[in-house]
Amino acid sequence: MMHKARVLISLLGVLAVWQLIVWIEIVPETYLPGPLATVQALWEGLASGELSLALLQTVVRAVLGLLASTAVALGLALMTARYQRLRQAIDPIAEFLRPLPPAALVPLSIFFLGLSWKLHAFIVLFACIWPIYLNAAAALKSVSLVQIRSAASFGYEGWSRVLHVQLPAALPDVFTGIRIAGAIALIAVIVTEMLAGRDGLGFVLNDTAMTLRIPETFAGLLLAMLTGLAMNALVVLVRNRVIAWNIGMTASNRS
Amino acid sequence: MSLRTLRSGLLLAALSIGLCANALAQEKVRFAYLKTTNIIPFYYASEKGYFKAEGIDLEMIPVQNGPAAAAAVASGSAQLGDAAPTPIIVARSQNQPFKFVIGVDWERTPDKLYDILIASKRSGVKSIKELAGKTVLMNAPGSLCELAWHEWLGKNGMTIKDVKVLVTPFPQYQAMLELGTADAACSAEPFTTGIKLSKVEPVVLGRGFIAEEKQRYLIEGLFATDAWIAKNKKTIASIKKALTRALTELRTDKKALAAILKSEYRLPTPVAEAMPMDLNPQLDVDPADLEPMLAGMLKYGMVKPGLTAADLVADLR
Repeated sequence: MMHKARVLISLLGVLAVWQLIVWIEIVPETYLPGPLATVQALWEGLASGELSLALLQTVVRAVLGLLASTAVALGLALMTARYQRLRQAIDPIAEFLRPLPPAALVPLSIFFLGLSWKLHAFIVLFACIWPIYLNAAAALKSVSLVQIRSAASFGYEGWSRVLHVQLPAALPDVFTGIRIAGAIALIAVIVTEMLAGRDGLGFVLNDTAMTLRIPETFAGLLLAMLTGLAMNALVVLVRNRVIAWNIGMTASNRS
Repeated sequence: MSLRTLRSGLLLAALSIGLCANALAQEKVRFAYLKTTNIIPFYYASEKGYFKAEGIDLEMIPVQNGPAAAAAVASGSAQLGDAAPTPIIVARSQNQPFKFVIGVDWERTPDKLYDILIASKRSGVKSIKELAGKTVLMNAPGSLCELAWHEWLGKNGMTIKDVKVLVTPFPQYQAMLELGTADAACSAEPFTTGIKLSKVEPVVLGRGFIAEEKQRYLIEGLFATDAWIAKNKKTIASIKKALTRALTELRTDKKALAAILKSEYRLPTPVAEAMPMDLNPQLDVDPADLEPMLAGMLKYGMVKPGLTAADLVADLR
């Protein structure tokens, strides 16, 4: 209860500061519409279908991209947990490619992928695979020797050890990677839509800015933020179901 | 089955086959375009079915800038692209096989010019010479605006090093000029009209991207690859025909024009009403139309030497 009250107070604080900036005109309202004008534009955009359709397109791309990235990255991490030499080969590549920003890849990727779903898929996969892979690989590797030796005494070796001992122990950290990647997936999709899209939230953001519809641009930004929160909540919900056993064990969750 | 039913069935089948054949006969063309007001005739012709009437199934794909249009055409995602000449000239110099096929906007001193260089009232700048040490805006490196700054500063005995250049997307111009974070800008429509109607109260410093150029020059056009052009000269002619029909009607039908501005562009009404628009463009492109721009780009090192204007325009005869 107290936690919810604190969240509400901090949100109200942000809205109050936002409105104050508008009232004292640090930035003219033409360029920074107040919270009410933004919410009104958001409501109108959702009701007219412009924002609701764009939101649906963006969310579908981000969620599918996140699912595909999770499958690929987790598969890769499991392989590297089973075959140490593979990990030695993949880790330097992951570290090398991880810092590349998705926005820098879009213009070049159009040349070989065109303006199609493949472009969105490639950018989201590229951006999301590494945080999931690195978290998962590190977690799989850091499973305690006591656990591994105990499992071995029960006959768990090779793939059965990886899948039945290391993977369950690593799942909390795997979900941390997926949570980070959830936000990255949304950013990657919106950036791709802004730079090379023909629909979706990123396209609407760019289109409204280019046609001088400032409140609508802010409405799009607000919607992107809310979508990010919703995606995070979705991942947390799935995590709480999959690793319910772990929830009561950590200090942060107990508090 | 009665004879009448059989006859009706056969008639329906014949009609369906005819419709299918018609649909198959349509030439599919994907068009990657920038949402400038020069695209209004495309929206109108699509809505009225003028492209279809010419046997063209035009799919319009909006893109955010000239380089994105070029990448779309190079990748085969689109057959036709729309852009300012500068990114296409740069792409051609990098061996991308692009050529212009249709012109959609032009400039020429003194009768056909846009207000390009503007300064805010609060900057106190009233002429190009007063820009020394000031902060000026352009939308992208290698753009028409970079050329415009080189040209206008050069004509006034200055270079681009005499000003502080900030690369900023067009939509941010108005706020930056009003708040004083920039003094002047190289702008384009509809942003220039938006700025004129705002508290910026701009002073026009230069009209036209190329200072005092008396020869007509292209500022926006449609391009395609050499291979596609070679096989589709008839298609290009059909697109021109549909566009000509649309432009002829739009010149007199202000209601239709306003309806497209409202439905497709959704610009604020005062901006839509005040914005200058060219509904009488020359659709044919000649190498001479690219010469002033290419000469400027070569002069200011924006493109590698070796390219001629003839390399940039398709011979559609």
